[in-house]
Amino acid sequence: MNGGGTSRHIGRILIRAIVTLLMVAILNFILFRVIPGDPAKLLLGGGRVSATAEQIEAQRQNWGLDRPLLPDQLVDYLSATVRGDLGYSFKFRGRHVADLILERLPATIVLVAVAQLIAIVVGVMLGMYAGWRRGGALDNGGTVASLLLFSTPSFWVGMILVVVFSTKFGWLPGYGAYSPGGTISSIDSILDHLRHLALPVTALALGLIGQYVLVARAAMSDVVTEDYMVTARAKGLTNRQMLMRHAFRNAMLPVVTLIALNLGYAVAGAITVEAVFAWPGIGGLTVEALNARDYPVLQGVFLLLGASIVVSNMTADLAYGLLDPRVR
Amino acid sequence: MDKWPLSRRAVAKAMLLASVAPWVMNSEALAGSSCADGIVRIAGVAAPDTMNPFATWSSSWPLYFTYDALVGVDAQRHDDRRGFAKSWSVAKDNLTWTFKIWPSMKWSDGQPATARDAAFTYNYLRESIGRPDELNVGYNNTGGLENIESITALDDETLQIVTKSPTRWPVDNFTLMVPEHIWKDVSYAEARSTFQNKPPLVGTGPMIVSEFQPGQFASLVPNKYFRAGPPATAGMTYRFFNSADPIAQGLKSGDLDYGMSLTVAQWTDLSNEPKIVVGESRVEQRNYLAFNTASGQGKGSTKALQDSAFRDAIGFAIDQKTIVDRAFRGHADPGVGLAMPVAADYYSDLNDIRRGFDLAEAGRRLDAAGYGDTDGDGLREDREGKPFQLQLITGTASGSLEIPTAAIQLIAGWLEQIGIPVTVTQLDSGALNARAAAPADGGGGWDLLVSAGWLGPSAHDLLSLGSAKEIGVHNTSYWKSDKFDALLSEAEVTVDLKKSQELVNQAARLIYTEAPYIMLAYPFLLDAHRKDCFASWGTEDAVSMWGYFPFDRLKPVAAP
Amino acid sequence: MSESTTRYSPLGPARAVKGFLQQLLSHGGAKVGLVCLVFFLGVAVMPNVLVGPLQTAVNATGDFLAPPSSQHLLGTDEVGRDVLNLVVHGARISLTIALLATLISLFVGTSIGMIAGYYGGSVDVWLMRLADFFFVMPSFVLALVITPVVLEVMGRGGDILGFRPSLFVILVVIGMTSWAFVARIVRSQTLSLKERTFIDRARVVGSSNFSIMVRHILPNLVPQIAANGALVVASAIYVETSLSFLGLGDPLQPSWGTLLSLAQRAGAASAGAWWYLGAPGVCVLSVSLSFVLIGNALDDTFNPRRRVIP
Repeated sequence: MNGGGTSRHIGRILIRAIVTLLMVAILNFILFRVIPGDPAKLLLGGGRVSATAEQIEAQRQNWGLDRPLLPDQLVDYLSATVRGDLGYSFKFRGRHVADLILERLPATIVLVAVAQLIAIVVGVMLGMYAGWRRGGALDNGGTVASLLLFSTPSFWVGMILVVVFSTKFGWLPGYGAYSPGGTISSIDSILDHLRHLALPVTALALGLIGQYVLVARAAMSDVVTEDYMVTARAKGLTNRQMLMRHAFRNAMLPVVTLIALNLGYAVAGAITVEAVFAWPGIGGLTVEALNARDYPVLQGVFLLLGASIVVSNMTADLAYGLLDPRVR
Repeated sequence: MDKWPLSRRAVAKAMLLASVAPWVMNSEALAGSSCADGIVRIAGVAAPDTMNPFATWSSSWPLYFTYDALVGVDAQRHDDRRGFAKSWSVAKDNLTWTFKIWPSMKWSDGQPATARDAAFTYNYLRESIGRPDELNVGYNNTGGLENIESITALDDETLQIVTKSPTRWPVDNFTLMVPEHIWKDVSYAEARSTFQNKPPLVGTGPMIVSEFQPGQFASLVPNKYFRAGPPATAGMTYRFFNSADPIAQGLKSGDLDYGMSLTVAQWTDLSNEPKIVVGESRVEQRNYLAFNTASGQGKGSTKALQDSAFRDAIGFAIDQKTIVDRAFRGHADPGVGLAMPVAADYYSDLNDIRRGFDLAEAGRRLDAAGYGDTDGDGLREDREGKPFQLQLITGTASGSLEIPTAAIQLIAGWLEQIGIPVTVTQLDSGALNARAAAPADGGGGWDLLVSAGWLGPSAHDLLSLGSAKEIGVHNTSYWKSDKFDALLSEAEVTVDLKKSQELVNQAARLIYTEAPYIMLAYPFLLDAHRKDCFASWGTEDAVSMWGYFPFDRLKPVAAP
Repeated sequence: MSESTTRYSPLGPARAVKGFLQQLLSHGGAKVGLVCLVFFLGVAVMPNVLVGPLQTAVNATGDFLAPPSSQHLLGTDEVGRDVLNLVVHGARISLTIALLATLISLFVGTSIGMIAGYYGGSVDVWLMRLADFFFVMPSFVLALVITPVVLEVMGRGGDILGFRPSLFVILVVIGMTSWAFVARIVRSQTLSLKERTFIDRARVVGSSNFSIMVRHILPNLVPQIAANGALVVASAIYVETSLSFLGLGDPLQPSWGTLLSLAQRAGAASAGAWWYLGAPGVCVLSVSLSFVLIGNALDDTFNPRRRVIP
């Protein structure tokens, strides 16, 4: 395979990512223009801020709303989006959407990262083992359990966890990211945060574990039935460690791809779980924006989710290309 | 990679660890009591949007903790709950009011807080009257100020308000007193919209908002210059939630010291907890069904909404008693007229003109008014022959008590039974405000609105629901009546209680008959507090909705 | 792709179906899935026969949030409605939304995939770029931002094809955002099919493009469409449940997701009302698991080399 082919392949992936992102932005642009009401007023916060005529006029000028929709307004909108100017929130008047999102992002990243980490370690381990020992009791039971976990809405798992661990036994807090009030000491506050993380992370991780087990198992059993592995077995290769490692490396390819993909969807997947646990992250913000019909925030979140998904897809494609030269 | 620990033992070990983790973490939590830091933790279903009292109706808490009203509701009910003014009196002419401000009071930034600040706050509002950016959209608004002749600080401790005609507005208003040295540079256009009044705020209340995270919490610190001495607690955290679930959990687990906006199910559940005291009190909230009576811009889907005969007939299909029994499980008074039972001076059960619940009667009246089912499909049509399909919007205003979904289901169910199908949209307080705003401000377009208002017990506030001036603010039915407005403006300039009662009664009867609103219920405030961290919660209406009581006087419970 | 899917069966159609069913039912998972699904479909078809008309706050008689008892097998909700009654009626709404959304999705996906594959060239490029977008963006994320806007524009009044508009909007949005996967598969199948001799023959005879697509290509795509359809239903149920849970559902026509949302609002979790939360959740879980099992078995039967679950 020559270098030209590789760079063309990478170029194609990049273009596809950019086009998808562009479509996200255009969809946002269309949706905002479809909402009933004067866009100039909407940009000032909808009916929630009683703007004066001068303010509305200034906004109209500012956003070029008296110019034609296409291409002028669209171009302006896209360039504003690129600059990170996502407009003002309806609900939290006068606050920039980008600020609101950045404020809430860390909490979500912590939640999602911990859940993914646990799910990857546990899921891949169990899945690989099940694939290696195909047909065993653990394999059969594990596959059924994984399918079950995979089909269960994680927010519902979260609600059940709250009923059991918070309401019934009172072991773990069922809402929020930290205990209210001042920070006592750093060690205590970290422990406090961990306690608050326990239930939402479990709710998120369980579904992911199901998914990783299924994929890791499939990958492993594919590898195990490959000719060279069968031969190795037939030869009576005794060094299990060697075999394991060999198989493991080869089986990791689809798993790594899935992980890369999943990281993009992770934030979206956490929205409902955050709603259950009143987690102060992007999901909580999304629910508030939905109830308040706070369209600028909703669209900002959409852009964020779109970007993370596109980037992770791109990464997965690139990684796949690098790891498996046949793709090129 | 070399030692990939894939063995049964490793898996078993990991599982064991995972299952033990909660226990380990839990014992850690038991070690550190949440009482230790002396911070009062409270929570409610609320969505405060800005700390600027001129721009919002949604942030009563935490603003009430930081700012004082001159007199307001609480100071008139309780001797020990005075606000910005220490005492007040009115001259014989009933026109000149004199207020004595607390001597050598200070703002939380150490500057002197005087009668000049109070005069500034009122005059700042008054001078905006008639301008395009009139300050009429928040707690601090121009309502009632048009009847004011002058507001002057005679000296640092004396404020004089002269009214054009007799009125109780000078003591009834709950305008929050703001410091002149902060607000004098804020333009009207900013004050009514974009000025955010960033924390730390500067006020005279016991607790100063030091941090405000929209959608999450507000932190408050004791005001070291508070006139009665700084509060004994180390501060407060007020958390906002979208639902009551976290609040009930927090109370149970000891994370929260006080929680309001509880559902009946949670309240009942919490009443069995030994360390929790549940409270229930009558308040000024009115839950109502409003019809969109606008005829021009913002009008509803059918002209029938503008017909009082139609609205009156619907009134027969609403059973307030069932709403109280099933939706509130008894924790409310059934709705009747404009005045709620807690406004004892004005409450009347309108016995002689009250509509009884009778679906058949509702049907007969609809038939008689020309809203029969002409094509026999079970659904009624309006006079234009268009089948009814009403859009009901609902939601709970921030800071007021949640309207149970069951109430909406009941109403929709009864209307369905008399052949008027309804669709329901639930919105949060901000979106609801936008939809219920005056048609000129982009509101309207809905048919029915189930919402709630929580104002004062004064004649002016009771009647605001029908006031033409309050359209889109408190008058969400957009209903207009010259006769009603005449009664209202007369009541506003009446100081004599007996005459005032007569006027309110006339107005209440008028609006009941015209039926732009059907009162559903006057819900009770259900709240709960824990008694293990703080004491001195008080006994009667434990927590005031009109100020910061008892949070200014809570004391940490001495460690046993 | 595998040859077996495009081969005309030399046996009669009845025997082909029988053989197919035998093969399908040899999967243990598919058996469980089918039984479960038939049960829920039965429940959804005749809720009134099973538990009487939908209870509302108006005709509810039970105690408030009462745990399961002989009178209320699944307990009651916060207004005294029987949870069993709600869940059974919810089955109808949830399944209708999921199945109709899937139909829309399959229709759009098949049309676009077939047109792209059949015509090729720039039509193919543009349609597939569009599909790329919908393929990458999860239906849930798209629906999250589109549904509230469409609801606001259309209002919730009126009645569309016998549905409350809010339900209608949700099902259309789910359908319109989940077709890309089907389109991709149909396109690749069409690409290989159109090179076949029987298509050439039809062209020579003078059949129009439309009739070639509908009469000759479509029948050969049915297996693929069916297998993916089952997976689309599972995801549609998931999306509907999530959207309703976030408050976009219709509180008067409770789907399972709306029931979960109502339970959350009523404070069921903190009051320990596990039956109110548990019942709708178990239903969602069983139905979506059934569809996943059936989808996998179908996929396996038609296309033994590309297995999701080996």
